[in-house]
Amino acid sequence: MVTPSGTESIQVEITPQRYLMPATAQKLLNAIYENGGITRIMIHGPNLPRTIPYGPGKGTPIDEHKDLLIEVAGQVFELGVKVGRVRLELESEKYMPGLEAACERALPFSFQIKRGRFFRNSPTLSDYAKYGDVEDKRLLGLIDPKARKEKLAILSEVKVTMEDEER
Amino acid sequence: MAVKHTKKLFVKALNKKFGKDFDLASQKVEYKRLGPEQNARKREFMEYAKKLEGKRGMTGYNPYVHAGGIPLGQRQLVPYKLSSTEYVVEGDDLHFVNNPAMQQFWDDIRRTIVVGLDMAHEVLQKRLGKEVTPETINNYLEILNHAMPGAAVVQEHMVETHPGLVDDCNVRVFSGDDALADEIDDQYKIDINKMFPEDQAETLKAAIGKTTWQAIHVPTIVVRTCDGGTTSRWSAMQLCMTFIDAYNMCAGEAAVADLAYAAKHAAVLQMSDMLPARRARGPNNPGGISFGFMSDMVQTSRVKPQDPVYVSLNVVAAGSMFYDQIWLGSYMSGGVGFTQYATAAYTNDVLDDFSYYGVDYANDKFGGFAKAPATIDVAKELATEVTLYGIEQYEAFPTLLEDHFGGSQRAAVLAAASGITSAIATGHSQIGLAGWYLSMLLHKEAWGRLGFFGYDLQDQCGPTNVFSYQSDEGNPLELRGANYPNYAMNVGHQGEYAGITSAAHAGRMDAFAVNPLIKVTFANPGLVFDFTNVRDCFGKGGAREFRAAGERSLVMPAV
Amino acid sequence: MAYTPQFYPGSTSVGINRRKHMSGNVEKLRDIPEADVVAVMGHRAPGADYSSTHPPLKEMGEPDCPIRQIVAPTAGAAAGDRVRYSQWTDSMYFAPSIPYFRSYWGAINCKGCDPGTLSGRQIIEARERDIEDYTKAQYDSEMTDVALCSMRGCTVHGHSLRLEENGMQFDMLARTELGSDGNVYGVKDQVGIPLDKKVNLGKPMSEAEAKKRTTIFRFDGVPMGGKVGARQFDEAIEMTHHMWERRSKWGYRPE
Repeated sequence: MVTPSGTESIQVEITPQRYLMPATAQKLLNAIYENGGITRIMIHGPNLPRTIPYGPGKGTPIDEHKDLLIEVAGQVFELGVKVGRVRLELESEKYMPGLEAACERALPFSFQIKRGRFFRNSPTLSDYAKYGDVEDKRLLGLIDPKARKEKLAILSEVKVTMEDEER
Repeated sequence: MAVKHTKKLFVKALNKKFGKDFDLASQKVEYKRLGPEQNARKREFMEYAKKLEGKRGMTGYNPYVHAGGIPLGQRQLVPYKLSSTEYVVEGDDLHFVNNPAMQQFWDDIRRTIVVGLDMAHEVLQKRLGKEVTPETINNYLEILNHAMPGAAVVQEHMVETHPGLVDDCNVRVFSGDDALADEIDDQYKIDINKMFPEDQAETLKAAIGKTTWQAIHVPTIVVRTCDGGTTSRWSAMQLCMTFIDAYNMCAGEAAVADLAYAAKHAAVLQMSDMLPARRARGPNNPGGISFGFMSDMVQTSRVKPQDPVYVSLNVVAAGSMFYDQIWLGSYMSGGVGFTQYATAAYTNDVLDDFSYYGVDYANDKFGGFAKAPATIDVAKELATEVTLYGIEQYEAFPTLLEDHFGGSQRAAVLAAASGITSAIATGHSQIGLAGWYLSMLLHKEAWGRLGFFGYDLQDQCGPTNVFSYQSDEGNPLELRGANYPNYAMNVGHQGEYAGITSAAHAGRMDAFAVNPLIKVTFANPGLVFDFTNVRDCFGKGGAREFRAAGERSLVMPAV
Repeated sequence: MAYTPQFYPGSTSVGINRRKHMSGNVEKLRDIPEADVVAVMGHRAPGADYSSTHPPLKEMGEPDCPIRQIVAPTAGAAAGDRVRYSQWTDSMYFAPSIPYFRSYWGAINCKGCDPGTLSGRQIIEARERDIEDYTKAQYDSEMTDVALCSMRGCTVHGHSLRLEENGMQFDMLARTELGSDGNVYGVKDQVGIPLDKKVNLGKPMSEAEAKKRTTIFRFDGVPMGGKVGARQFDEAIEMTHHMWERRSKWGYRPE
């Protein structure tokens, strides 16, 4: 999968030994981002619903999952999942050593890094049904088919001024 | 537009979460929320999404890509890679309702019927004194391929089907008699010598003998409107009309009744057996398809016979999708369905890894495929080793345990690998089955858990029935099916049983598992689904690369 | 009894602990107040009366039945309680209990108990005051570690997931939390409805203690079958082989 010259993009999955607290997730993601070379990135883990989804307590708010705000690469967004895996596409092999070092720095426990095929560049059935023909193919595979727009963040490479909004 | 007092609350929330690490006072960042904005392009996106929402009945998504930015997504579900393929799709893409390849797999089976030609020829020759020669047979086949899709050949004033709707319909003949087969027009035959490796072709021809059969596939659109019960009747109707035309019979003369009886009953091979009343569906329906037939329908054995694991895993994929997602997940229940019980067995290369491990182990020990003695001790050793190995993988790789988050998924995968290994090593399906059951019992002792509530009912009482062939006690695995008594109720088993069946024969390099007629019929290049590479074809379906038959857009107004 | 039941084979800590769980001979590690147990179960407010589905048996007058004469009703049955449940989720990362062994414990040691076993959860149903007793017994004993086991009536996902950074089993409804004092607190009942006040469940076991008390075989703990290339079968495997072989051969009856 890796060409001799190592110029092809590679897809990687980082699995820490434990599920990450928001602060640790933030540290890890910032370290990864600083290393550079990311085409797209996805965090995965069990859902953190804002209310109880079913059962006798359905609809009751789950306060523990509110306001899980983290700041990555200068942007703040809300965590909707408990971070257990980070999958990303790197522009090329040359960013790998830096990625491993970034994980060592950011994580206080062991982790596994695996190469594989995690993203796609052409829409599947559910992609097409959800987005139609999408211009930026990097979006494919980043979000669950049923997820709403809150689950996507765009990490801008340019820092801009803060604008708060009442939620 | 900063609102001062909310800025403080925001800071407070962050400080509460992350303590002293956070000091926002000096930083300037943009908090991007993809909510409604004033930008015209974004409004356009949202309007488009709303349009999609209405038409497709699904909540549309409105991604906004900031030029130069790196998109970061959050997911609770992982996508699936179809094992041994490069296709990565979502779980939704593997629901049979969404996936046209999966639908075509089933459509291709239920629209198929095998009808012998020899009985009809005997009637023509002995009762009517007509000559049957290769020329008359070719003529008959030409007319039949015109008639079978739904065209008239005898009567006037008949309405017909539109060819564009039924172009997937075709009939081809095959025979174990090379001399006769050579005389049949290439376009109307399944050439056993071309489709199968030489040794398999010889075995198939010997098994079929000097008999001739028709592989008939009625239009997909017909079985989607009616059901599998239509197939033998539709086919018989058109067969008879064609005989009348081709052999210049009087339409409705007495001998036609013999031909009809042969075409509907005496010379017919259905794809499935009938089910008892409580589960009854029409003939050619999923509940009655035996594991041996499923093994023979899948054609991987003729394209990659040197890799029996690969052969078996394609049968597992076909069987899991078919029995778990369509039969149990829909005919017997319905709604959301049982997709993830099946996908565990054909995605992410997990079952592949465990099975290849087991077969390599067996080869090292016994010197090759189907070389181990078919004894209970061999099942014991191989199933134990494979199960322990698989359990260790789940323990050593946390994401593997999370991908197969349900005990039933893990149970099915561990036991399938154990059964496939035992079957390939011995060439004996009952040994494979015994290995499957041992795996379940060991798995339960290792972790103190197994599957869903009632999952292992059939596995606890299964061992007692493995080695009996008495009709009220057991059956060779090839002849068991979805309605075998203890198998009838629970997912996560039937597809894997089909895989174990196929494994025994693949290990022996057999040409077929139980029925050579089924094996050859599904080698018909006129089928729409690719039976040689099941997982790849499912992946194509999920990736929106597969065109199914039975499309009705031709006769409906454009969107 | 005329003999001492053996319950389970094996001489490793796992075998020993499995025998403890089955026999009911488990060590008491904590004392959760009854009111707290009742609150977490969530079927009635602590101190409230029990609901009934029928009058007390004595008032009803039972038919003349030899079985009823032999078997004394449980307290809950005698009172006419409705049937309620407690359901547990045990982490595969060295929780002391595992589903089938919770069920064995219940079936062997608890009268009037209806256990159900799955992989991600294990449930016992019984008359309400009886299940409260059984639940407290489980909660107090070494069968339960407060970080790795939790009572979950729904949304049980977690048994097959890695642990959180703080060693807790993941819970989508955040029913428990690890306090800064090192104690685990129950903050919601088993279906996720917030409790009026937090329940102190005590400190979780250390990793070493969990490994010592667990009943699960794992390659990084006590393996059931040694390692790849160095197989060493625990007696549990020999037992299973024996059972499976006899079942298979008896069905066949070669003689």
